[in-house]
Amino acid sequence: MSIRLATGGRLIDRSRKIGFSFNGKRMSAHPGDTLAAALMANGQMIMGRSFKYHRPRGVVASGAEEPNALVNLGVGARHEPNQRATLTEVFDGLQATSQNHWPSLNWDIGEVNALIPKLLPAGFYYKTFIHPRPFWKHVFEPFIRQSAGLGRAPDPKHSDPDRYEQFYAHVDLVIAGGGIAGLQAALEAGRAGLRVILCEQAAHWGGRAPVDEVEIDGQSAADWVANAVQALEQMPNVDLRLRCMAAGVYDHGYVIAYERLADHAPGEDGPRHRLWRIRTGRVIAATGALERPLSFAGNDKPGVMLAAAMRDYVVNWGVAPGQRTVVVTNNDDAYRTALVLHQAGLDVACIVDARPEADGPLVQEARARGLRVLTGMGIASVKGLRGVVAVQLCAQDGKGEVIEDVVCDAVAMSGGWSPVVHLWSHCGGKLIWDREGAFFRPDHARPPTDQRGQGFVICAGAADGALLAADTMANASSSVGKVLAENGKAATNTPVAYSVAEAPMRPVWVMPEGAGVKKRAKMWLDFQNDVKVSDVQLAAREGYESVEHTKRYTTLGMATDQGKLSNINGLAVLAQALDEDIPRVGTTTFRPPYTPISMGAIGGEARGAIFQPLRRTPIQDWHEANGAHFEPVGYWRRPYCFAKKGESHRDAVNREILATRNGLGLLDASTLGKIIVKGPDAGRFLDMLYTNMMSSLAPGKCRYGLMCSENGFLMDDGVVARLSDDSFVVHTTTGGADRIHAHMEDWLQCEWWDWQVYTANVTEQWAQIAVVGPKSRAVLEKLGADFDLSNDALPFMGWAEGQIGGIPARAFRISFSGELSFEIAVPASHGRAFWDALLAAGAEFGITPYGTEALHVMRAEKGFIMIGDETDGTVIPQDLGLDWAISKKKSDYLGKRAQDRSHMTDPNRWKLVGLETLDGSVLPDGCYALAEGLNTNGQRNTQGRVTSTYFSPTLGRGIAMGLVLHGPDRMGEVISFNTTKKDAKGEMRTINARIVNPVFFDPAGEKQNV
Amino acid sequence: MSDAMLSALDGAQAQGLIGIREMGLQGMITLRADQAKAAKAVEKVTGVAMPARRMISAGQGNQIAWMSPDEVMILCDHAKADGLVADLGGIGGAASSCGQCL
Repeated sequence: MSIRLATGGRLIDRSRKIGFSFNGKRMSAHPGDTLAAALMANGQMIMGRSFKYHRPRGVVASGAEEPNALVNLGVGARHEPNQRATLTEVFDGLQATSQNHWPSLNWDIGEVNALIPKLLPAGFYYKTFIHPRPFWKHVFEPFIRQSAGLGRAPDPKHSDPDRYEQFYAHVDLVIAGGGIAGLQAALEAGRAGLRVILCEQAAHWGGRAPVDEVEIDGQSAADWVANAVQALEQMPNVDLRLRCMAAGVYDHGYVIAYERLADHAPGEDGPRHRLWRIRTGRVIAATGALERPLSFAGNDKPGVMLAAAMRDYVVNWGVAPGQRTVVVTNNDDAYRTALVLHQAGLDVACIVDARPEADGPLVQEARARGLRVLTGMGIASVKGLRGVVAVQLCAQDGKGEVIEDVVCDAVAMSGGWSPVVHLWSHCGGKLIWDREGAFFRPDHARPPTDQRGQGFVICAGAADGALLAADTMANASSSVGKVLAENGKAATNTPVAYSVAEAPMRPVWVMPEGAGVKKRAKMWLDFQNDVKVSDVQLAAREGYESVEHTKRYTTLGMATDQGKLSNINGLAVLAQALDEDIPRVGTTTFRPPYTPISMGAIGGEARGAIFQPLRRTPIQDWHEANGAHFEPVGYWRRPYCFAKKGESHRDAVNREILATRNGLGLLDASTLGKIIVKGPDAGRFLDMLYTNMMSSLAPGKCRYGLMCSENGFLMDDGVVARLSDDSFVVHTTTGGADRIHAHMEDWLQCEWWDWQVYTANVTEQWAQIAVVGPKSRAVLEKLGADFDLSNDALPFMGWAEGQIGGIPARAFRISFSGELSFEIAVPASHGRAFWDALLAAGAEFGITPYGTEALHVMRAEKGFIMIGDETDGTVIPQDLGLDWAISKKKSDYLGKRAQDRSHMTDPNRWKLVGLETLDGSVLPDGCYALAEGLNTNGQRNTQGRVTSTYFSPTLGRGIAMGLVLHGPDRMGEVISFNTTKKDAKGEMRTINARIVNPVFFDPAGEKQNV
Repeated sequence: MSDAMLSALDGAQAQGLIGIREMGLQGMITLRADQAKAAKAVEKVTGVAMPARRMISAGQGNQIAWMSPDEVMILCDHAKADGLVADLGGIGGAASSCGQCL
């Protein structure tokens, strides 16, 4: 049984006690305990159940790599699943519950799965549930869903009460890992004056060195670490961050770090997590190494633990996982655990060493202390149901014949170490196989490269494969030396570390070597996902040669720990089964984040009302005060209509249209995108962006244009006005401003970077008000303009600027309604004043503010297309009869080549027409034109669809536009459209409509041209 | 008629851990240019040196904020923004600058 030792525990404060609960049971801990340490101190070794077989599991590691000890943490709004007990710092009042068990942690119904593991081999789901098909949905899936899954998801009724923030930083160097390698790198970089962020995922500095009794420059590691931290704290250019994990490395020196500020003190003021978004010149990954388990039968039982983790618990937290331990190893390092246990007064039953001979200094010391060392041996099986009661020993090179039973209650295993190369790999760094250490380490010849083609991640210390403390320190100094040299500096002090030398390890992938199928089916590779040696071997037999495929087939390494313990062992087993070299089988790709980070941190402050702040026009207050019914348009809320008291929205829309067509309407068009394009190549640039010619536009003139994607599809439209020889203002759709501006910058920065063009999105710098209707000129003249607004001086598609009513203004003679219309742009600060002035001056003309629905109806009456109605990302200008807006003269524009593809020139593409119902009714939105017969799915064939449909108060009838097969060639033909209604006989009701010209109103354009 | 110029938040204030008050109308000029080439002329017009990357430089009532490798924002008195844009337009590199004032 696990207990708290009477002495020891360098990280805990024995003078204080704090209370916490596990599955409702009150327990006590000391400040400094992790939850895993505290649970063991309270005799609680079983901490969870595995995913597939629901096997009882105890903690196996002491850090981020822990696969087993995952708990639900907190209650109510602060409940969070899958928290690693090894990283969770205990605080007073902490409440944790175990996961994946039913009805209780100690007796789980799902454990029956484990009694018949033949039922759940690798690929079980793929193989088993295919037939009969209906069984999947009604029988298998509900059953599996009930028993599957890890933690309980947070209650959706609660919203997260904690705050999260993001923080941007720009530095020369990010050092990931605060062990001796990271600290040494930070000392040197800090002294050289580099701006440094040093982050450590744990709550304390120094990593393994203090536990492993390393000496540095004659000091104990603990003293050296304390001095180093003190020195670093004095350096203003070095930022030290504990509980902060470098989670991912991305292109262009972008690093994400995840800082847990208040997990150990929930509810305190300030954010809970902080996501650091860092641009750095270089990254030093001083991320250490992870110990590997050994694959022997029963290696997943509670009480079987990584050897280094076991000495961590003894040294750091004064906790003994067992009273009598068997150490099983293939290397010298695990002897340190035996020595630590012995030193703490605990029994070491024996040290089982798979190597034929062991005679290194650590082995000698173990023997000298009277510990029993058995070489050439392995563990045949572990006895015990919910814990360890004994192990059976066998010869490592045999088939597992039991030589001896050894009574014990804990097993410390070590299969060697793997450098943590994740940060090296995230951005494409390659690995090489180190035969001597049996691990992958960074291939210095193939680093991840930055925007200049230079390697920008450097592994230091154990992460670079330098596992012995002396090598670790030397490696750290030389690694940071490379960064310093790039900055014209040199290292100033290279400390010397000393630790006891170690004899070579022996790779052991299966224990014993000749284990039969029964034993191999009990050797766990991936603890969390229950993947065993037998599963990987089965995958190999079934033809899986690629490690990536094997991983997905067996789920090896796909659990929340992402295979930190299982990857190399699984790979080696696969390589053996395929009779291949490990490096030839390859490794899986490490992807960020290193360990899971909270969704809260990813969201940061962007939640609720500020998730996507709504934009307001300068006239928004007026709209809100005057009965506007709003609709969302892009980032805006635009008035749909202004209903008077007792008036329906439809009546309001009709009133607004008629008032505008017969007198004077007013539209807040401030939301229209406005992008300035300026420079000697501005015309050439716009010629590429638009399908028609813009470079020929004269200053003072406007032109309507279409913008297509590279694939030829219509993506935006609008009016371009030439301000001067070298500058234009481009109007985009309301939702399109940001997107089109980004599109422009993309082409200018990535493709046409040598063109002399700059752009600026000035959408919100201007209020834009459309003054529309036969009386529009009259109201502007009444306000008093200092420039000529007459048709001769300012004709249709012209623009002029000056002052109107004393306000600086640009007047564009453009019309989206077919009426005489002036779109007046005034600086945003004048917008409200100008709107108010127009309302006052327009009273005598019956001035009527109108909304987006009236705008839509009026444009449809004129047959003008609307991006998002007539287009849906699959429509090209030619579909809409807009060939007139496509230049034949230009050698190129974006989309031109795509529009020449055979599918784009297919005469059977549906084309735009107007549609008039025979009975004057309004066609349903989105309905289809019916064709004869059924398609292969038994659905009715179609020959077109409605894209816009409205009641036109101007014409007193329903009007619509639609895309119809050979539509323009079928003028006058009547086709029928589906509805969702049925007639008395239960047949679908249809509506007949005649194909007509899409310009329903004033086809000659006489009204706008006056 | 009255032309009351309004700023976006019309002087809104908020009190909390810190107090925030909208300062009202602010001249803001977007200048896009090769910063090294434009520095001299910009300093002549604004009296402020071109800021280093991610910095803001200030002087003579004007400030220049670094926005990107080829963009700065000039903060100035609202009433003087138009004049500054005109002056900047005359710095020879007009082709590579693009000013817009609020």
